[in-house]
Amino acid sequence: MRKHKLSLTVNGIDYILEVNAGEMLLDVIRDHLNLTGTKTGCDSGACGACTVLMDGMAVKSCLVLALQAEGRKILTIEGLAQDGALHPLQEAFIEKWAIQCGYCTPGMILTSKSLLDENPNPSEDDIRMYLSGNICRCTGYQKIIDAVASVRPLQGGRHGKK
Amino acid sequence: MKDMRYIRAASVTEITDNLKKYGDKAKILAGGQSLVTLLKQRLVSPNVLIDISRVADLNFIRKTKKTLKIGALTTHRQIETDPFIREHLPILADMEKQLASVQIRNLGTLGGNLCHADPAGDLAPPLIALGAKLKLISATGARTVLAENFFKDFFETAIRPDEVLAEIHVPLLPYFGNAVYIKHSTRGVDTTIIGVAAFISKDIDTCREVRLCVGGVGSVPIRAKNAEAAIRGKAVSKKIMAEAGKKAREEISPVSDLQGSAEYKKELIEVFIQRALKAASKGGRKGA
Ligand SMILES: Cc1cc2nc3c(=O)[nH]c(=O)nc-3n(C[C@H](O)[C@H](O)[C@H](O)COP(=O)(O)OP(=O)(O)OC[C@H]3O[C@@H](n4cnc5c(N)ncnc54)[C@H](O)[C@@H]3O)c2cc1C
Ligand code: FES
Ligand code: FES
Repeated sequence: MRKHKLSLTVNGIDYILEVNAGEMLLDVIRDHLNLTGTKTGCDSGACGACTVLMDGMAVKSCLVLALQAEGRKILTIEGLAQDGALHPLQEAFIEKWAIQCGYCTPGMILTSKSLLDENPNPSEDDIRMYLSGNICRCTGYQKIIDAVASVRPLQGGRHGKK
Repeated sequence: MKDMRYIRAASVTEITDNLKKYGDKAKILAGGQSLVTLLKQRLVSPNVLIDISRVADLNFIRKTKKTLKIGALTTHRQIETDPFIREHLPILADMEKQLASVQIRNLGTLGGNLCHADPAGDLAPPLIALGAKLKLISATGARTVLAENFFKDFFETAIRPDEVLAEIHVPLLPYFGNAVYIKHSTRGVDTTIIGVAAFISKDIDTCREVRLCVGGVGSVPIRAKNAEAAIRGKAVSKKIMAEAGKKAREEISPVSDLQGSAEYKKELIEVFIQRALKAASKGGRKGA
């Protein structure tokens, strides 16, 4: 197999890797970098379990060729906590019981982060629409919506605050 | 997935030169939101991937006097959030809101959506109703085709293996014109069962021009021309719209697929043509 050079940044660390043209970003994250917080679900763009942020934008890493990420900054769930302190969204998911089996959680949290970065005070409808590409088989969604809603700055939440 | 050569094109010329060199052995990669799945399932297995996603010249939204020109690499999300489009061609922004999920819209491009030519695609019906044209470029020149004539069969288009779709030209709405797209699906963002786009322009109450296009009911998006003829030149009344719904139902023979049976879709055509016409004819664009 022909190897291609790939340079990218994941959670603030620069990597230079060798990949095949057909390799997915998801596989690079999980298998080359051993960051297994990013989950494989449907492997076809439908469930959102594999969501990561690429240059701040939510993408489904099962549908991104690794080479498409050349030069990009990737954020996975492992990169969210800072100096041992959980991100406000992570705390909110725990506090509001928005996690059961946890399989959808990394994707839910990263997609929510991208929403709140774009729009710090989304309505409940905005949250539902934005998370519509993320499937949860356990919680029934309401607790996830509550968790995201609770970190809106207008609700006294801490998203975006240092 | 088999081994492939991977080329990251930096300019339109680099795209067309590589297409000329590799012909149908090559596949263009834009956002990859449809192609990657086809590659994984081995439904396509090119020897060469030409990644065009970094060609900045193909990513723009530019207004000219009567036309909005959109580069083929413009993403769904850019259309959804563009302030000019939201105000002046809201049909496109509204359609995008219901297309796939935000993650897919972040990477998926307009050009990729059209060239993929899924008969349930949500972009084609509005473009056809608006009378949009597509500009195709090859190493030997450029040509323009009506969006309506671009689609040939399930996942087949008029594009040649040496051509790239470069631009989409959308006529701006006339002063007394309006257009809407209504998508019917299980949930908002799911695959379209049927999608109806209606463009209508009026002199006071009389319909001057109308174009209706239905997606998800055949191998390509279909113009409901008999339904249009039923309204054109007439006062747009509830009765006339019901008449148009009946005509559309008669003239389109939907195919059964995973989204619904042919019978069900026939019902939907009649109902949704009426709904789309109603919304388009009272649409509030500049009081039209
Ligand atoms: C989970 C999911 C849900 C979806 N839901 C919807 C939906 O509700 N409605 C809808 O309409 N679509 C939907 N889609 C499809 C998606 O919107 C588009 O098909 C996608 O945006 C294609 O754009 P792309 O840039 O990713 O194209 P790619 O996947 O890169 O390419 C698609 C095809 O077009 C060719 N191509 C791309 N760009 C060009 C060009 N400029 N010139 C010539 N050929 C080109 C490629 O060679 C390939 O054959 C969905 C997709 C997924 C994965
Ligand atoms: S694994 Fe990527 S969307 Fe399901
Ligand atoms: S918590 Fe189990 S899938 Fe969401």
